[in-house]
Amino acid sequence: MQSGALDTLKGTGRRRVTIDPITRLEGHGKIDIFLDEKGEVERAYYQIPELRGFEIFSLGRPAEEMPQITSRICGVCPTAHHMAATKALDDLYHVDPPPTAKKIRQLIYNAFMLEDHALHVYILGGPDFIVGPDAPKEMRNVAGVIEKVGVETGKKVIAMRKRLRELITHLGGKIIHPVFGLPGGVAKGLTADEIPALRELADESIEFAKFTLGVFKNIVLANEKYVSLITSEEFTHRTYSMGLVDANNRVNFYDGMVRVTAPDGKEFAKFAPSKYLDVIAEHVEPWSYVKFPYLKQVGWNGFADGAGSGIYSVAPLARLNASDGMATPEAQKAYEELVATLGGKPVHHTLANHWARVIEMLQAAETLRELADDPLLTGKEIRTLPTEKPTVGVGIVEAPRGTLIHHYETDERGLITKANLIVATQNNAGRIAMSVDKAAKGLIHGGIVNDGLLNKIEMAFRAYDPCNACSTHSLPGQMPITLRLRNGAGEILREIGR
Amino acid sequence: MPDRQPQPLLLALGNTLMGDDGVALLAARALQRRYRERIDINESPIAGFALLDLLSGYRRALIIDASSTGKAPPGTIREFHREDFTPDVSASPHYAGLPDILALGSQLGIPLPGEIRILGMEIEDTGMIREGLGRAAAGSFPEFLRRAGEILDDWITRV
Repeated sequence: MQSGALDTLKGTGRRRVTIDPITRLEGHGKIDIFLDEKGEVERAYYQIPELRGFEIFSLGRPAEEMPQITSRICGVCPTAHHMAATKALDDLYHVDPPPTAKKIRQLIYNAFMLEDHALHVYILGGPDFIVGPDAPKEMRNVAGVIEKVGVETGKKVIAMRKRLRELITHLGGKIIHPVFGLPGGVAKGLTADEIPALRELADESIEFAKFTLGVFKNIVLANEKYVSLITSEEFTHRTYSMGLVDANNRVNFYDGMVRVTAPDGKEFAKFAPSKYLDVIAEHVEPWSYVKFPYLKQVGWNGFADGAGSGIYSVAPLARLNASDGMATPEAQKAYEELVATLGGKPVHHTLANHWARVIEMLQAAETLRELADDPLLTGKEIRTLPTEKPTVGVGIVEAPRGTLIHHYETDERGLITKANLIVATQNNAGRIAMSVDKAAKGLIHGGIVNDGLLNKIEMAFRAYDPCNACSTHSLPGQMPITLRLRNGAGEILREIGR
Repeated sequence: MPDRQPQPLLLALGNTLMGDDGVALLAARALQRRYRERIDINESPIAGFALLDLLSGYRRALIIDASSTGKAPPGTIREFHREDFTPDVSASPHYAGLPDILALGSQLGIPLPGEIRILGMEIEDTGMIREGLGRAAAGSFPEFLRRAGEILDDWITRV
């Protein structure tokens, strides 16, 4: 936005606050907050980058390359893209993988979800909740988290993450370049002698997830101040929720039907991945490159809550809302506690995403154990060879950040003629924009903007774990923020940098 | 954990599907033939906490990367120092930076390089998926190789 928006402010007496990533994420995840003459927030905008050129890049390439290409595009969650692309190829070639292949895919995918969620809970959510939203900024980092939870816990987190990554690498090839997914199956099976170590890791994973739930309860839920922040109106939106569910309407990360529940919790839609275009449409705003997805049947009615607005949410909390519960026993218990504590289902408090994430860790760990005990996991039949001509394929998985959609069309030789991705953060874009706007309006008054307030506004989008996928690495590394307070002429009155 | 390699590490970060963003990876590939016997060369499209896995066990590491600070024209090569990075709350753990990794390593007793040098080239960040370098990055590429080679040569002579 920017210079143009500044010009329109001239002579109006209004001011603009910019929360602006100044590193290689320039232009990515930028927040602009416009203040009126009294220092009240008129409107806050959160801009998410859109990956451009994907369709052009894909045209004419063999469809079989897509699991490798898409996993290379995203440096954040290559396993999710690899899996969604692989499932799209199943659909494209009209082939159903054998049960063993599906179980191996689920094993890899649940290990990935667990590892990714653990990283988020301790490293991203940690500074906000474990250290505390009002802690001095020099403490709101990894070092502060370790100081609070203890070195032994820190070592436990790092060790568990390492072992899960080794498992994923062993089964699926390098995490950064997964190669296990093939249309109709997987490239490599498991043998019986690998199962004991897998069981051991699964048991340790369950203990680790339970331990993490304990950390969350002891530090976050035991603190009334944190709980009131979670349930505060500034961090609440009553939107539709979307997520994959299994045949019993339980949360599933890898497969199933897509279910949408209304703000009152009732089922609104349930559809097969191939029907996604019947349900989802996209809206364009002049201030953002992102196309905001919304529910076609409800329609686009602006950035608004409620049943009359087609905006929906994805990610852990939305998955819990869109389901009838968790698929494993311990996770189900934890889910029931969340629902009871936060006033019943559905839960619309954005910051409860952190709690939902821990519950999903538990489901992922328990699923690992169930799979390790399943004799089908070591079956010999790991691929159904495609025999039909390729046409259209849609693959949907639940990425850590929410519903991820891959859609390919090819000619009869299997060369791509159309490709479309809707990534999780895009599905969440409408709600994230609303969250940032609401938090800014609730927290900034009389032109007073300080580091603590800035952090709380950032918390509104960090809870979603936004993935600005095309920025893959780290020089200088973190996402420093500068906040600029400007007068109507665009002059900087004050600058807060980190 | 003992040193897994006595050799220094050249770690290239970036993504060759994102145009200039892949400049460091292309540089690492160009430096392979000259240094592969004496330097461990690794590429990664992922940073964040992956840095912990990639750096642990080494005594010396040269990280080469693209930068997009907007403070210099594309093609500008700059050496960053530890002081350029301050630990902070990141928007995502995937963007966790070097200071977080170094702080974590120090707290948890994970052996990380005592000497880390970081060379970055300012890039034109178009947000477009494409292969190959833009004009400015391509023009500075030989100098990028030279600067990286200078650091590696110095380390080799000191081993």
